[in-house]
Amino acid sequence: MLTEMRKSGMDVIGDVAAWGAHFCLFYETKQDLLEALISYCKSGLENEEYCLWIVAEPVSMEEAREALKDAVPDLDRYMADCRVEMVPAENFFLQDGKFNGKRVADAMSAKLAGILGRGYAGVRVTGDTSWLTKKDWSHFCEVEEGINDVIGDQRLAILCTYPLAACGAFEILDTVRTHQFVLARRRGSWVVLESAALKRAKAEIKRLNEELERRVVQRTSELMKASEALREAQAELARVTRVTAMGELTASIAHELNQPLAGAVANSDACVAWLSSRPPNLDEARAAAARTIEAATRATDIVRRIRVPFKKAAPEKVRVNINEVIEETLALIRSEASRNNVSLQTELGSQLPLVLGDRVQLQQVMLNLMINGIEAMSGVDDRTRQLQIRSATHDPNQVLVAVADSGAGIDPQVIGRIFEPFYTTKPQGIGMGLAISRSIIEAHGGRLWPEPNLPHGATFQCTLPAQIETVQ
Amino acid sequence: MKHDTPTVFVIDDDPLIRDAVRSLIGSVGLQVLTFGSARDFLGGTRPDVPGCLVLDVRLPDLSGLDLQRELRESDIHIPIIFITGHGDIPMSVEAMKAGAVEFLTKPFRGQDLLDAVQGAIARDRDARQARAEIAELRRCFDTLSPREREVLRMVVMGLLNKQIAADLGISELTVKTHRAHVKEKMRAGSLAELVRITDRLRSVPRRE
Repeated sequence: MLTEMRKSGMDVIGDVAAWGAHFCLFYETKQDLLEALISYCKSGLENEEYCLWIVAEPVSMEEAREALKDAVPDLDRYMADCRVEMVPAENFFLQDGKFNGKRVADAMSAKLAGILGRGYAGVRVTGDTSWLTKKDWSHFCEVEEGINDVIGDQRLAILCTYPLAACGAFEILDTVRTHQFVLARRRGSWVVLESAALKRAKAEIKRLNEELERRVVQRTSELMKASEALREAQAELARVTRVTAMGELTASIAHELNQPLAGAVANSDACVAWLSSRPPNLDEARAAAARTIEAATRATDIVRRIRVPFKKAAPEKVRVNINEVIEETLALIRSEASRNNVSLQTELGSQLPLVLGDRVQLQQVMLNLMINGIEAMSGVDDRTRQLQIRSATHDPNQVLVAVADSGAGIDPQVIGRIFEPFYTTKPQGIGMGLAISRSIIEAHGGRLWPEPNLPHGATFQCTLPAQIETVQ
Repeated sequence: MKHDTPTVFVIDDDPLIRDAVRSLIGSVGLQVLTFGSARDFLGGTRPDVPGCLVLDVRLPDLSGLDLQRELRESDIHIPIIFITGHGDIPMSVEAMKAGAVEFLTKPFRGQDLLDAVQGAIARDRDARQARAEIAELRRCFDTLSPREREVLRMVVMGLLNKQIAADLGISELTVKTHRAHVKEKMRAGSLAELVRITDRLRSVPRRE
């Protein structure tokens, strides 16, 4: 459907003169008729359109040409270019003074097809009906109706003019029925009378448009909400996994923290005791106080390290020394390792380039890989349970971290699934550790993959792009 | 150092805790010897004075419970005060059953440790004295002749001299003589005391 609005040239028509408009006008005076038609044709010519004016009483061909030339000074040039055509109504509608509806319809179709085929921006037609007699009225109505069936998808507008004085009530009703809308001169100005069908159609289109728009808005907001919820859920899941991993470590963290706390309490008790003795032993008291401070500092260090993975914050990319992250994580799992009789070995490369990343997330990956490694060795009794953590420069622009265990290794049957969310081989596991670890590493532009560790166990390796210092 | 100054042996792999305990116990005038591992402690020589052992349940080489077992099997009697980082109930039950005197959870109060140490030393002093007495009694018992031991066994069963004489096929007078020797050798003033001494000897199985 063509919905492009045309400038009708008549203010009153305004935007309603879309392509495909078939409308009529009732006039009382020649003055009114000319005013409307000149405006209609002028506007069409100015918009690179073709104008066909079928002229009839009370306007003569001469008057029509003069009036249009007054409004459009270049009319001669338009005529020469065949952009405007004026034909007498008798020639157009009648043959030997007789009206034949079918002939007119066919002739009009052929003529319009010819004009439309010449590639104008559009075609606007106006024709007057003052020649029409009562005898031919009903046939003419059929022609008018036929136009409605074909005009819809053409770049075509047709304005039919009727002398009001010649129309009785029945004729007016027929005319209103066969046109999309009606222009009439009332109390000195042009008004638009729309047919109920057009009104309904327009209202329906408006309603459908509004409905469509409302649904688009609604769906958009639903999608945005869903994607926001998804993002939040992912962040929460990552945090929960982190907290879960930390929860598994609670016992060992408590031990880790109890140690310096016990040291602080016992040393300050000793300090007080030495100060209270007679005479006070200041050297011993001083030494005990110094050890108290040392113990408290150690406790603070542990708390600082623990706070990091629990933090609920948006990821932030900073320059990170991966060895520091590894050391911090090792401090958290040391007790867990010793409780599981796992010996820890580190081979951390010196002078590693920094990586750009989120400290908390990277620590989470290290934590996951180390805890997995320790748990993978829980069934090992015939050999040393050994967890080896290596870091190195890999290619010139990458840092590689490997966590190798001496456990049972990964069953080749499931190796393709271990990174799937919710895939787990542990009775208490939620199966998110590796999935999240991989997504974190990939979000940092790196890779995470498993390899067999010979002769026993598995090695999880990840690479991270090195942050190359740019020389200013 | 006085001959019987009580000595506390402290075993902990964390120097912070080790030094704190050493300092704390030293502040009340007790002798303290510290060790970084159970092996160091077992490998060293220990003065033969009343004392106790303060150790962490988790030690790097030999766990506290293993050390406790090893000491018991080597017939080394010393009260043990355990310190643990975890409120590990099954482990503390096992330790107490095996003769630990106290089980302190980190972080512990200094006074609690000192009270436990003083209690353990008092207990060790009593135990050492009891062991010395038993050893003395056994030494006395060892001086008895086979016949005197037979007479002693029957006397404490409550048999009359006449019955003993009949059972052993000796004269009543000879029985009286043996009885007098037994009382003298066992340093018992009365029959009742002899019975008590014998009971005490029986209560502690002889270890060879």
